[in-house]
Amino acid sequence: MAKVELLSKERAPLLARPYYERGDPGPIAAALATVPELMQPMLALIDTVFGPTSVEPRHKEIVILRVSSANGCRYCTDLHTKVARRMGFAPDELAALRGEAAPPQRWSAKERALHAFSEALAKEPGEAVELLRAHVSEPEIVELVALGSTTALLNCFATALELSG
Amino acid sequence: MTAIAEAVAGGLIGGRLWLYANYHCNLTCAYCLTESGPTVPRRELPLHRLPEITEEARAMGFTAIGVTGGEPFLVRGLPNALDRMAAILPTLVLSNGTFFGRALLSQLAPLGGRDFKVQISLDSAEPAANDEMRGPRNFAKVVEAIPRLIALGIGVRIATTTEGLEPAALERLCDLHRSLGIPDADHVVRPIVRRGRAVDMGLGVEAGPADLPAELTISTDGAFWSPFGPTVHGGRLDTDLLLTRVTRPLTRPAAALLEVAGAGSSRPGPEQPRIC
Repeated sequence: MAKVELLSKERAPLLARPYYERGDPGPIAAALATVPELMQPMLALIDTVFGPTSVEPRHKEIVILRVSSANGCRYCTDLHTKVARRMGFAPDELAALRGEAAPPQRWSAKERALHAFSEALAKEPGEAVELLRAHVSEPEIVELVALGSTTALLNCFATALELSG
Repeated sequence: MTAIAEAVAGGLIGGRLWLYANYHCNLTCAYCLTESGPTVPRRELPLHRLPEITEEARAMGFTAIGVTGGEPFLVRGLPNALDRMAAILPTLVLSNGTFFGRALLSQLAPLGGRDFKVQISLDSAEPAANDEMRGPRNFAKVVEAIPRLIALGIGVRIATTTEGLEPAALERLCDLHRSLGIPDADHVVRPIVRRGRAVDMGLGVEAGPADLPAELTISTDGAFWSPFGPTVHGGRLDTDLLLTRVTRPLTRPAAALLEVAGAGSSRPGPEQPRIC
């Protein structure tokens, strides 16, 4: 049970209502709705960073799931395990991203680098970027750090408030 | 002209900014929107914020201030704050009319002749009918208070909240307020809104943002669409009419009000209260 009220559609503040129009907005949005002025900027950040960008969706999901599991966020790890499974990640890949096994041998050098980068971002952020340099461009580094950092923010938010799916 | 001044002039939002001074009250009215009473937690806006917000409101283009609660006159030091506020914008304070004894009247005396009014609730010309909803001896205290305020040069309005007053009963009430020196233009008759304690009592009419004029309202819980917004039911704040939690600077909730009001610009403009 969450540590704060997750606002229902009936109790949704005026600025939060658009997020309820297509049904349950999920626990992160329903918690943010308590402070409606946070919703638009935070959800816009999440949509922008997690949505379509110049980095491939598969590579983004490696970062999101590995950062979440390295941070010990149960909600985000469970949610993104489902997302990754739908995207076609195999069981051994999911195990690696959940921190339960080493990355599969068949992964490319770039995928391995993303996995290592994500672990480092959660534990030793100052070491993380160097693990990527040989594999991605500078704009991609910025984007991947933004992605991993936003994921970490959500990990902290969900864990602190004990959000569940 | 500021965005707020334009919106007020265009009828998109009301010109009066409402402040919930507090939530506690000496009465426990049957239809109270905020479930106010003597035993509720004492939550109130810091007194120094009332003139500060009033000054911000004036600079932004609001044209008047309303102070409500709870019973605002339970807030110690309120008359002095009202004195400062009335020097900035026309100020109306809503009261149950039960505290206008000698001490409070002497504190309010400097407000005589100023752009300041007290709106007192009175629901019936029959003491028993009024007191059934508003508490024992409420009628007697109110009809004693009104002439005292008028004698100080303080304008008084009467607010009648009703489930539907028979024409004859309304006429008797109007005769009463006229006899007390209050003109028809200062008698507001409004329906009970089904929020707060009225929900449990099965009283009143449902009202959402489409039914309620946009009037920025500040309480200790945040900023709301209307003075009917910061209601409490089952001890829990209603959030459906919440705009923002942030209230300082006032530009933040005001921008949110304009955003919502603009999105629903087909809404009727702030309605004039029905007068007798």
